Amino acid sequence: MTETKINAWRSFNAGKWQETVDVRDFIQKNYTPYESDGSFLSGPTERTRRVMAALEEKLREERERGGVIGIDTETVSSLNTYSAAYLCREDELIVGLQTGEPLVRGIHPFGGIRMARSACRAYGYELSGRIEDEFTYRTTHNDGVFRVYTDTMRAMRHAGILTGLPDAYGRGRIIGDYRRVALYGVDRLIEEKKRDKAALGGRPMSEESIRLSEELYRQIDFLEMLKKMALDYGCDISRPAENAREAVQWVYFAYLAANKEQNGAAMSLGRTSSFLDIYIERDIAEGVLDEAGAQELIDQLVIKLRMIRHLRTPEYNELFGGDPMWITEAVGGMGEDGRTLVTKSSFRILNTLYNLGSSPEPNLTVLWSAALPEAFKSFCAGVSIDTDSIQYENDDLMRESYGDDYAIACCVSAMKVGRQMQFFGARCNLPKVLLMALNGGLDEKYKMQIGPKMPIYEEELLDYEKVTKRLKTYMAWIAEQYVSTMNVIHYMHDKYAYEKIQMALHDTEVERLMAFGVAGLSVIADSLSAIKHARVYTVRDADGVIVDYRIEGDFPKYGNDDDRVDLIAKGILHDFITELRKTPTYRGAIHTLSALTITSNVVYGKKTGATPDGRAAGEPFAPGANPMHNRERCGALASLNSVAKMDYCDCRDGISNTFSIVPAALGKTDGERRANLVSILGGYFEQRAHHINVNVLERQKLIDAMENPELYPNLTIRVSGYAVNFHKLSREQQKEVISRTFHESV
Amino acid sequence: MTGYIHSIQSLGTLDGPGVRAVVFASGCPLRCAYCHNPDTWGEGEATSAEELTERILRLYPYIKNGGVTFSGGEPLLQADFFAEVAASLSERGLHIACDTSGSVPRETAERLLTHVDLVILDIKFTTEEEYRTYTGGSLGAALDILRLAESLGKEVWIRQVILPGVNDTEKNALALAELLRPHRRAVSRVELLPFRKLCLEKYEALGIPFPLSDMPEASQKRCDELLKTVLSELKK
Repeated sequence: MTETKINAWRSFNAGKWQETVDVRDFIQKNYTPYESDGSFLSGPTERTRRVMAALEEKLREERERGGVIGIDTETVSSLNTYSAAYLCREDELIVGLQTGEPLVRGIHPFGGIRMARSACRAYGYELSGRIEDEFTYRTTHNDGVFRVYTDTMRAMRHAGILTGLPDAYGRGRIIGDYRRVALYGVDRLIEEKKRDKAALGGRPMSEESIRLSEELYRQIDFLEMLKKMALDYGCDISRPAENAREAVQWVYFAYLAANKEQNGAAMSLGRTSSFLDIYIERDIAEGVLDEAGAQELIDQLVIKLRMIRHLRTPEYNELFGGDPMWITEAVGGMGEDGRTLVTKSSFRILNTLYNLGSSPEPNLTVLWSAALPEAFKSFCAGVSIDTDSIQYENDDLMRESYGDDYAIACCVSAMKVGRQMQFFGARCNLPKVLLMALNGGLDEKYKMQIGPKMPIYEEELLDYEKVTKRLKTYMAWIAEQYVSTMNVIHYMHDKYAYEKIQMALHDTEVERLMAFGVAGLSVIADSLSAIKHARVYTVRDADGVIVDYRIEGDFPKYGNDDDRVDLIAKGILHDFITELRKTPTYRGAIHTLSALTITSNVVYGKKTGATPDGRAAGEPFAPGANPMHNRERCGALASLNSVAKMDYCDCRDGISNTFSIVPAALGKTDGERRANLVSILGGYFEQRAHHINVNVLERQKLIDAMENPELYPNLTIRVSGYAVNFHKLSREQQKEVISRTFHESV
Repeated sequence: MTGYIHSIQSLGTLDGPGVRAVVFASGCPLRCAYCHNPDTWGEGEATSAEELTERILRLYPYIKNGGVTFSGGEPLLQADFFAEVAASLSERGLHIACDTSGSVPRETAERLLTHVDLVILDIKFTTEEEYRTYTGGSLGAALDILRLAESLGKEVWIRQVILPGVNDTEKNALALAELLRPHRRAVSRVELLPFRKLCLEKYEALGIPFPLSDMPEASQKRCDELLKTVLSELKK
């Protein structure tokens, strides 16, 4: 062992983490579980306040300039293309900016030059001629995909049956194990990768191993660039971090490098706070750090995270409202040995919402377990009530599949940190598949024949058996098309926009997940319920195409804890993943599924004709796995029970539920509200539910904020799987959020 | 046994401690001028005790540290039915509350109240005259139920809705304290609730006029002041 390592690893408990790259083993052998409350926490230091004030000034400028403070149109964003830059140098404990100036957005043309170009134009900039010229000789991911897309794939994309496909920008949803840089230093990681590459060369070269070998070459190349990037800031990260400040800084450098290289749709941080806690505890024990100093490090890290930006087009923002980054940090959870993974730093990172004000980013995600310390549960409930800025996911459920060192990509996608990665797959609009089944493969809105042709459903009255038989046929068809489309996208992304630095922070032999998704779950479930339990008649246009429905009688609606419809919803998820699994994936990825729409439920609804549940054409869907707005009749818990019935085994990429409740409905006093929210969360997760976003606020406040934005500059709310600043949503998205059910009857 | 309910509100946090399922019984002997739930006056949905128990137990994971509240309407009108439900819920260790105006004969009430942990008693007015004018019932009956609850050893919460210009006076607060004084060992909480008109929509939907549509809403602040009087008087 070298001397620097001995110093960096002083007083750590030894383990196999020293022999092989194994951050989990390091955490398990060295962390200090914390079972008590948040009374130890510190407020922000003066230094932090000054940095935050500087950021607020920049944020104000950004708002005034229409949401984008500036674009560096001359430079292709990468690890070494900008020189070191600062927000307010003398007060920054943690340094490193994405581009040459705070909040200025960089150009990422490798995903697609078209998107870079039109995003520049949308904000009044012009992409530099030099970059344009250079990219006439290069193939982007977007070029590659469209060289291969079939007519059917293009048609499905155009009609919005498959939407949000990552075919024009970075696919994201990959979480580098940024902790490795702090624990091992970059040189050790390079050494390991070189060894893997040499071992690969000892085997016969297949297409797979040639590809992997080239990828390793590029990973090593970028690890070298990572060192240089840090050196520009005066930090030698070739060696491991030697104290808490370095650990935070090294982790941040690695994360920053990922964002300089990639503009992925979701760039999670991972699960870092309890890892960093080990360094903080050691510094405190050595007497070189106090609580104020510990909090200061976490606060300053979070300030930096809040500054990460990517350049997006207006169309992208229409899908994913609010300029989200999904810098998701998983907090808490339990270890496989029964000890909690909650540390003091789990509290510290949540405390940033008080010290720095509430904010959508980072996307703080509490991994909930029945066994979490009660004091932590209560603290989290208080943070939810005060800030509406955190989400909860069921650790007891995810630990079964992913162990105890997984993190969340984007909103709800679990993966083992550094050992698994995901091919992000957007989502399939299921209500449209149902409408297509009724119209024999014809799109109800664009009147194009997209699916296999079949006669349009002939009788006026819809028969449940006949409809589900048709649906099955079209679901099988769309599933095969969907897997193929994803295979094309990810083949091309690997080929033309491979994530060098993020994959360098993964094991070489990585397990891949291919994450499919559904939109409109409640709409299709209620539609089938209406057909089964009421009488639904078709309404046709002059050409005989079914364009609307007339319903006679009442029917059970998803969201009321009524098995007659809830099991239909559950069955749809099961059938869809079963169909998807029939088509092999690129690189042998494991098929997974999510019920998550982010804010795209608005756009999906817009692209979808009237549905048999009585939803009018163009009306928004409910988000994620939520019941349709205002169809819940039995109160909040019945609604949670419906969602809890969806089976995580079928939906291993996550089942998102957004829950809004007015404060008074949670109880009278602060203490009652916290305790009651803990009971609600506990009851929900005990039934193997997966995810919940919690908003505790008055609908009136949102209406007021829509009319008077200047009065609520930092109003943060949770939508499907992430938090947004309410003002960054489009007017349409704001209205949709307001129209959602707020549980208020008491 | 068959009972009649209006609905189940799966998340209640105000009618008893913790997170609670609230069952709204159908049918009420009173016709309070300010009734918030006129939609419970009708016949309601028929359900068996087993079925209702099963529906409530679906919420068990959330309410295990809270409980179940029978409200209405007037649950004591169906005392035997709710007693059967309460008995099976108690077996699961659930805390049971009964939210009542106490306008039923003592013998009937007793059959249910023996099975509950908490009685939330609405003493609507402090004089017989006002009571009769605004509800059609009698204060004496409500006080009978208060005595009954105390004799059964039950915890009691007292409620009263404060109507501007009717009972929003110090005099009424003192009178209420006077009524409660003999029972203060049983009464663990007093709540004065401001008169609100959130129920207007329900009246419109039912096509019946809301008798107090011209009355202004009461303020929480006034209720808090009056409550202070009641509580300090009770301490004396």
